[in-house]
Amino acid sequence: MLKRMTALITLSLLLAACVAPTPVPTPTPTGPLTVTIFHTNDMHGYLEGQKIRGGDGVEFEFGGVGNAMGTIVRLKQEAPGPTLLFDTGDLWVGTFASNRDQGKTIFAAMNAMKYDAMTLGNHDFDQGVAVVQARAGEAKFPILIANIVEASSGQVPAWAKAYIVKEIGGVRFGIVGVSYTRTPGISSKVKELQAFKFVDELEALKQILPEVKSKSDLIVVLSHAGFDADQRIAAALPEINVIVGGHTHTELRNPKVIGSTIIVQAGSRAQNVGRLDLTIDRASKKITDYSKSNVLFASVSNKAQTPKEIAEMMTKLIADGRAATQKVIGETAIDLTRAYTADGRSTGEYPSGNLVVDAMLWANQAGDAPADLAIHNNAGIRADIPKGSITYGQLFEMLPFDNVLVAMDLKGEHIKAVLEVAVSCPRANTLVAGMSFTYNCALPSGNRVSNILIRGKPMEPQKVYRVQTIDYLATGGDGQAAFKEGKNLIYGDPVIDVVAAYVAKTSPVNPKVEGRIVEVK
Amino acid sequence: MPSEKIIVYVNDKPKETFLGMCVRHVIGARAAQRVKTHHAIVRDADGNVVGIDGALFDGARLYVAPMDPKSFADEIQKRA
Repeated sequence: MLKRMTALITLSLLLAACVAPTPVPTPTPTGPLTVTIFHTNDMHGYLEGQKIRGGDGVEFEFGGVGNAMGTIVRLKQEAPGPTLLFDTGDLWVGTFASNRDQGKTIFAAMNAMKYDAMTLGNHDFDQGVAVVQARAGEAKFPILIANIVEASSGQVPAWAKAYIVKEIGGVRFGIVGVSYTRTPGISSKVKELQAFKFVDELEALKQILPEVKSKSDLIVVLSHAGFDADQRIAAALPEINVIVGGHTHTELRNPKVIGSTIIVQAGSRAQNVGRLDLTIDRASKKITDYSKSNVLFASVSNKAQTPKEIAEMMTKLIADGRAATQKVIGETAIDLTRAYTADGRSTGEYPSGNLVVDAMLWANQAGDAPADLAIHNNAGIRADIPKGSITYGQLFEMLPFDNVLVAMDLKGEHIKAVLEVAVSCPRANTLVAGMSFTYNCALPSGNRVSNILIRGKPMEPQKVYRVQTIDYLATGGDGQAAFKEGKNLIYGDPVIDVVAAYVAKTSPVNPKVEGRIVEVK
Repeated sequence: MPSEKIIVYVNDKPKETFLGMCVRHVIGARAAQRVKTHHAIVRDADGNVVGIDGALFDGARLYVAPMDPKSFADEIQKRA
């Protein structure tokens, strides 16, 4: 009987439990909230890492997008709580394979990694606004640019946002992005960028932060302004809690703190991943502690846990890039040689050199005023190309340096000064197009150059000419201080791309040695 | 068309260049090559490592110092 009653009671309890289960109270989180910010910047399309051999003889790859993503995967497993993942721009322009992919694969990898937001760097505009807009359309995360507005409307373009608010564990993070305000002044897309107003980073933040602050508990700025500017921003706007920086490629292995604002930045080329742990008091929603040291983690292949999907994306893109370098882009009707004489001297004029400067003069970068002349250094041409087909890979061997075109205004007297330095005898270390001159090594240094003709007319010392040169020379490389007198600079595309475009357009090329540079005795 | 000139200091020596140029332009081609092969390193005024394609700003101070590539490799493994 007792057994029966017990069974009945048990059954009724069980039934009661089935009909009306006792609610289990959700435990209110106690203790501080730890949120980890992971960040990358200035990856510049470095898909592959650099091969390094350690002291133990073991070889590994250092850097590269795949290894950085694999490092983030590994570090996320160690994170004590929720995470955020940001990039601060200059993402895909910088390597041949990534440039030709226009960032598509890197954005796909970032989508797979579930990035939370990014801002844009100056180089993200190198391939034009339409490319940025296309990538923004593919991104599953917002692009934040509070300081870039359409000139016509004064509004942030529709494909971007000024800021977002993300709630994590009851704490609202206001996340704002600022790009480099001087981008139009250093971009090859100067005409296109006239459709936008790049507002000073600090001014833009001053305008937007009251609105962001009204909707959030903590403020994170994604900045491509550079480490110097980030420090000024932190000093001026103490309400910012964290600045995730970029542009100067600074490895902040320990955070820089200005007042109570924490500044971090993770170097470049995907060589490091930044990790900043923030301890937040749930009641006051204030940061009570943060990682104070060792916040950069090297992206190395032997420790990265790169997802298969991303590893395959990178492998394919790298292979595609390598295959493309072997593709024929045009032909040459002659051997493109560097015609040094038997004693090692050169007049500075030879077929491959003339091809390069002819291409530079041909390029009308960014709709700029046509140049009068082009100057490249002789030493920058490093290989010959035999008669026949030309591949991009051969051009890379010929032009192995990462030089970009620079257009500038330069007075005739400064052009002469450039030539005088270039013909430091016995070598003539220059290549020219659009002009000609003679030099005499028997004369004293500084007085060797004469008969300078520009566009067939005698050079006028005080006249201003438009000159196409390369960044290396423009900043005084090879002792060419006179280039620093240049005015109205416009940066252009990589010289190798300009030459490749010229070869494709004018194939078969047949550059003539026509007496542009003549040594007289 | 802007052509703003800036002064940066390399090992405390002033160098005039244009805004838009980067670290490799002012440290010189030879030093840039040594940095690429980890035989040298560039640091800023605070001692932070900076990359050779890092953007320059007016008043930037850069210091180029020699480095042992083997110790560099070990250092990044420790930091991984």
